[in-house]
Amino acid sequence: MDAQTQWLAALDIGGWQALLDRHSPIFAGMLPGSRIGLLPEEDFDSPLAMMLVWEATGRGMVADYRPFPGFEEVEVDLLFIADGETLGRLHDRANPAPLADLKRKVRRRETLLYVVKPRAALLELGYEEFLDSLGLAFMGACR
Amino acid sequence: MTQRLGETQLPHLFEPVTWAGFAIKNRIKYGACCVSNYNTRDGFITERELARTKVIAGTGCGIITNQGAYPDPLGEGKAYFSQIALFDDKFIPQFEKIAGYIHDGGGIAIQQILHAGRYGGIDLGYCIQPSIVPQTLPHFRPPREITREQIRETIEQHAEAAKRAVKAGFDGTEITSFMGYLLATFNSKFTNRRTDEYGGSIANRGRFMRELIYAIKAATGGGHPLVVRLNGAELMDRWGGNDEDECFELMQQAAECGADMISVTVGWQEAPDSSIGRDVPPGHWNRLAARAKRLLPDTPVAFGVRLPDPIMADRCLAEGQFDFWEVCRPLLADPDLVKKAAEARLDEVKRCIGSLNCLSRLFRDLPYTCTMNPALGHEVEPAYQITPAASRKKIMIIGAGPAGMECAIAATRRGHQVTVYERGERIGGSLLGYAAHDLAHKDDLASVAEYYRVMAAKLGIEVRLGTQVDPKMMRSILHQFDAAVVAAGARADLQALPAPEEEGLLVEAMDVALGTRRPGRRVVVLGGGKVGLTLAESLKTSGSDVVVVERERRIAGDVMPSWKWRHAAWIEELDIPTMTGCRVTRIAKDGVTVVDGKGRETTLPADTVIAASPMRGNQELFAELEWSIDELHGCGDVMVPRGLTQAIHDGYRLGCRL
Ligand SMILES: Cc1cc2nc3c(=O)[nH]c(=O)nc-3n(C[C@H](O)[C@H](O)[C@H](O)COP(=O)(O)O)c2cc1C
Ligand code: SF4
Repeated sequence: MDAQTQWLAALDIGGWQALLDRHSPIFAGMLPGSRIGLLPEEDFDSPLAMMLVWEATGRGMVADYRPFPGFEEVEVDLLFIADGETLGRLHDRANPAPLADLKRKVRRRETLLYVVKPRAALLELGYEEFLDSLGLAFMGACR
Repeated sequence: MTQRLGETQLPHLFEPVTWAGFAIKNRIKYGACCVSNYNTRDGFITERELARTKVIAGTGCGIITNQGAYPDPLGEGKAYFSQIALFDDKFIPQFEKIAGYIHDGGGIAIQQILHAGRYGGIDLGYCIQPSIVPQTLPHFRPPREITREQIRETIEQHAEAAKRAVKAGFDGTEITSFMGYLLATFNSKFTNRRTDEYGGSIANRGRFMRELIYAIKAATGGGHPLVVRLNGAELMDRWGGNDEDECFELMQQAAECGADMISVTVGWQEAPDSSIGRDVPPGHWNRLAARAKRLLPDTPVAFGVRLPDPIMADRCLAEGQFDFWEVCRPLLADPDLVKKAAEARLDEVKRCIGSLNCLSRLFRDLPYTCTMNPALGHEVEPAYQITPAASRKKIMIIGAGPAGMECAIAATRRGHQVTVYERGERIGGSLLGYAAHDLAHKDDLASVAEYYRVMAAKLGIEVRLGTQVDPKMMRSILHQFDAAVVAAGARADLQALPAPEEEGLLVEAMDVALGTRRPGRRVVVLGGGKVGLTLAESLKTSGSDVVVVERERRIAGDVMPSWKWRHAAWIEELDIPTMTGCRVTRIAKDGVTVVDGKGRETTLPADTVIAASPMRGNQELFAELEWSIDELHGCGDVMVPRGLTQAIHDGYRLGCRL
């Protein structure tokens, strides 16, 4: 089984949707069409890579798997690149604080967060609460 | 010429050398550390910059690098709000002045050409890079891929800019891949995903750099050396960036195609690890310079990242780890560092304490300033100059913390007679407590207090320790002074908190910091600002169970922007729970009761509750002194509690105008 098939098989969409539903207040301010991508680190350079997309719709956030078309074409606002273990913990229904885990990983830069849209655009799209929950204010440059 | 004492003690640092045909008076290079944001939005140099540059030119360094100028008219290379430009001949006259100042100071003048690449395009809303790799820091612009035609143009623009620098009188030029600028983005696998001749193998990725070197050298002609700044470590390898071996391979490429000096730097702006912060021990990166020197024995190597100590630098030179000590922030903090080293007066040096105020300000599009050097950036303003006092006064200063001591030193230098009264037994005030608990590098903050002690002794400032100034004491010295300065600092405002139901339960942060109160095992810290966090981290490290309670939505609100992540990371690593957006409603034997934004109540068990916020200036003395002295002033936290940088600046400014 190749990497992307493994990740699709192991982490079902239902689990992701449950995560989004449980944390809906964090995403509440996002305008429909706002999209967050998550890509397994292992698949980063694979032409077959699949990415998980969390998309804001009029009915809340919806999880979906889509092909990752590369940086040039990718239509998400934020893109997380995480290892399989991090994704597994995030997806795990028994994890009491999955987003806090993600935040910790981002802060340590063990999970890479690409800010595909500039900050001003993200704020326009209603990302303030989500960025805040990730502690993005703490990502000082030139450490 | 006879050698000064320090020059004999640091013989390698002060050894005259020849480099690229130039006789150089010592082995000290002023690193390009002066992207200042003092200039006009369209790249012209201001009087403020020129005044600052005169100070830089007078530092006594053998080689002086002027701040990076962007080379392209569009401003794709422009990273900073008011960065200087060199894309047109119209800028040359101002550069002539700067080269002139450097030569007058006896230095060799190098102009850096800085195309910021990934961090550029500040006025454009986009940046250019070899490939489209999105930003990882939210304040930078989204990337566009540079075309081959644009690569050619960019190289030409660099060469033209370098030619202008030489025309303006600079002896040589420098290009920089420091911190992820355009050159670094070509070199690095992290941002270079091209499939043409500029991407892929390390030979291809280095092509842009080699073409740049050839073009600049051809444009400036013989006799004008080129320095190439390259990372010894990008600290981006976790995310597909170059590993150290690749960094050194690129250095070799640069040397082989004619770079006259390699300046070794460390880290990208977006790197996960610290490279220049106070949490990096001095000398930590020296190994990278040593490796560069081993690899390139015939190419001069300059180095100085987080190497603030001239004694250590002299030793490294003696051991052949590098050829030039490239200093940046230590010379911001004290422009007389080289002079003091030469005169064996190192105890008088104001050390760079790694506060990162300078860079925090640049990244907020503000002119840079320095915590330790209040005059930096204000060289053109009389209010910041030490000038002889119009009339000599007897001045009493109450409080020997940073504000009081800065004021005392400036006023004494101007000819006043100063006496400092300090309640505690040591010079330093609350800074002593803060230094004792700093997880990063205690010695840096402690050095500030030590500097004040040394200067008080050398300048003959009388410091009366263990002396409380109160009305009775004032009556005993009535009419002995012309002016009083209250610099009594601030304390946590206990009135703003619920009265504790048991005596001794609630203690003031500074009493714990200074060791006059010992907390119990279970501690609740009220206030998640810099004072509260510093204490919480330190107490947790020494075994207490600590919880931080903060009224605001986030902790670290008053922490320097470039240092917020550091506290956030420590709090996380040390597993210190933080309760934000919470109000304290009760402080009792069974614990502290807090209520969150949704009205939920929690009781946190505590043996000790430390009040670290809100802070309030110790202003009581103003009322007491108002009718007993001719002039009454205040400075530092006593006026508005804002922290070390502002206390130092406030005290200095007041000392300059008394
Ligand atoms: C305020 C400031 C401005 C800087 N500007 C530049 C610059 O224009 N070009 C450059 O290559 N490096 C620049 N640097 C990096 C320094 O040259 C130097 O490499 C870095 O600060 C580490 O050395 P230090 O520990 O002696 O400060 C700057 C650093 C600071 C603090
Ligand atoms: S602001 Fe801080 S880090 Fe920057 S030079 Fe001054 S003391 Fe050093």
